[in-house]
Amino acid sequence: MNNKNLIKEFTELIEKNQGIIYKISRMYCNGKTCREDLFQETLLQLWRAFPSYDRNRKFTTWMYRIAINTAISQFREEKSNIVEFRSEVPERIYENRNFEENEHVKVLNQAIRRLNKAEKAIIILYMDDHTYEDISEIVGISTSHVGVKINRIKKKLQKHLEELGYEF
Amino acid sequence: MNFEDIKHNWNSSFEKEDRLDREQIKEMLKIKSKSNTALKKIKNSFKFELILGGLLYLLIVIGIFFLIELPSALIFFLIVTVLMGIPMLLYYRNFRKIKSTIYTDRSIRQSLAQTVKDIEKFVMIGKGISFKLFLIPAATFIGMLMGLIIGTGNTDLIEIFLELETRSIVKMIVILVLFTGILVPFSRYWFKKKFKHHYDNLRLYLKEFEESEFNKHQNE
Repeated sequence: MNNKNLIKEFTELIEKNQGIIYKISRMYCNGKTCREDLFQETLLQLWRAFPSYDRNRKFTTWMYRIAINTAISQFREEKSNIVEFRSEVPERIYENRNFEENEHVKVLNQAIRRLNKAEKAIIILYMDDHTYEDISEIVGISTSHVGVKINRIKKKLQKHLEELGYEF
Repeated sequence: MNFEDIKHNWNSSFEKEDRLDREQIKEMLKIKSKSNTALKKIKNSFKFELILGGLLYLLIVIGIFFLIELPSALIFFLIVTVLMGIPMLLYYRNFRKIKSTIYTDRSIRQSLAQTVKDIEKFVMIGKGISFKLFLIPAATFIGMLMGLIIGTGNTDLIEIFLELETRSIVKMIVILVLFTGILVPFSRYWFKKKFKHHYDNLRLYLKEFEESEFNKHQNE
C-alpha cells in the first residue's frame, strides 16, 4: 500500500475512533495541556505503528493497546518539554477542543483518576463494553482474572465516588 | 450503585467533544513533534554522542595527516582507528538495538516489562556507558600525543616516545586516570539521573499489573 493510501486509511480509522484517545487522555491526565499532548503523542505512536497493523484483527483493540501503552510509558521530565512540543501545533487544531467537563462528570473523573494505572487500563476497557477476552488480550492478564479485577475496581470506585459526594 | 449509570454518564460525556476531521488529523501528523517515549530519548542521547564521537575522530584524523609526516602518520592513524573506532562501533551496535517507538505487538503488561528491561540494559547496567570507559581514555591519550607533537615540533612518533622521560610518562598516566575517573562517573550519573525517576515509575506500574496476577493466585 502506498503512503497516500496508508494516510487515507489511517485518518479514516482515527476519525471514526478518536473517542478512544479522548477517553484515555482524560483518564490518565489531570490538566488540559497534558491531555492535549497525550492526544498528539498517541496519534504519533499509532501512525508509526500503523504499517504493522494486522488488518485481520480488530482496529479498536489494537488502538486501545497502543494508546494505553503510550499514556503509561510517556516520559515526563521535571522540566517538561511540553511548551516546546505544543508550540509547533497550529492553534486552530486546539481551538474549541471541548475538554471541559460538567460537574457530575468531573467528580466521576476525579474518582477514576484515583485508581492506579493498571486499574485505569482495565476499567476504561470495561466502560467501553469490551469483552473479558479483549481486556485480557490488551492488558496481558488472564481472562479469568479480569472479572475478579473488575469487581474490585467497581468497589474501589464506589468508595471514591461516595467520598467525593457523587449523587447516584 | 448502578454501575451501568456510571458507564452511561462517562460515555455520554464524550459525545459533546469536538472531533477532529480528516484534514486536521493529517495536519497533526505533519507536525514535526518530538516523541516523548523514554526509549526515544535514550536513543537520541546515544545519537548525539555518536555524532560527537564521529566528529572528534574525523578531526583527529585530519589533524594527523596535517601535522605528522608519513609513515608516522599512518601508524598514528591506525592507533586512533583501533582505540576510537572499536568502541564507537560497539556503541553504534547498541544504538541500533534501541527501539525508538513503544512496543505495539504485545499486551500492555508485556510491553511495559520490555521497556523496563530495555532501560535497565541501556541505562541502569550501563550499556550506554561502558563504551566510554574505552573512548574517553583513548581520546585523552590521543589528545596528549597530538599535544606532544605540536609542543615538540617533532613529527616522528617513535622518536617522541623514545625521548619521553619517566616523569612525563607518569604525568600522562595521572592525567589519563584523572580525566577518565571524572568523566566516566559523571556521564553515568547524568544518564541515570535523567532516566532514574521514569524507570522507577515504570517499574511501579509494572508491579501494579503483576500484582493483579499475584492477587489472582492468592485468591485461588
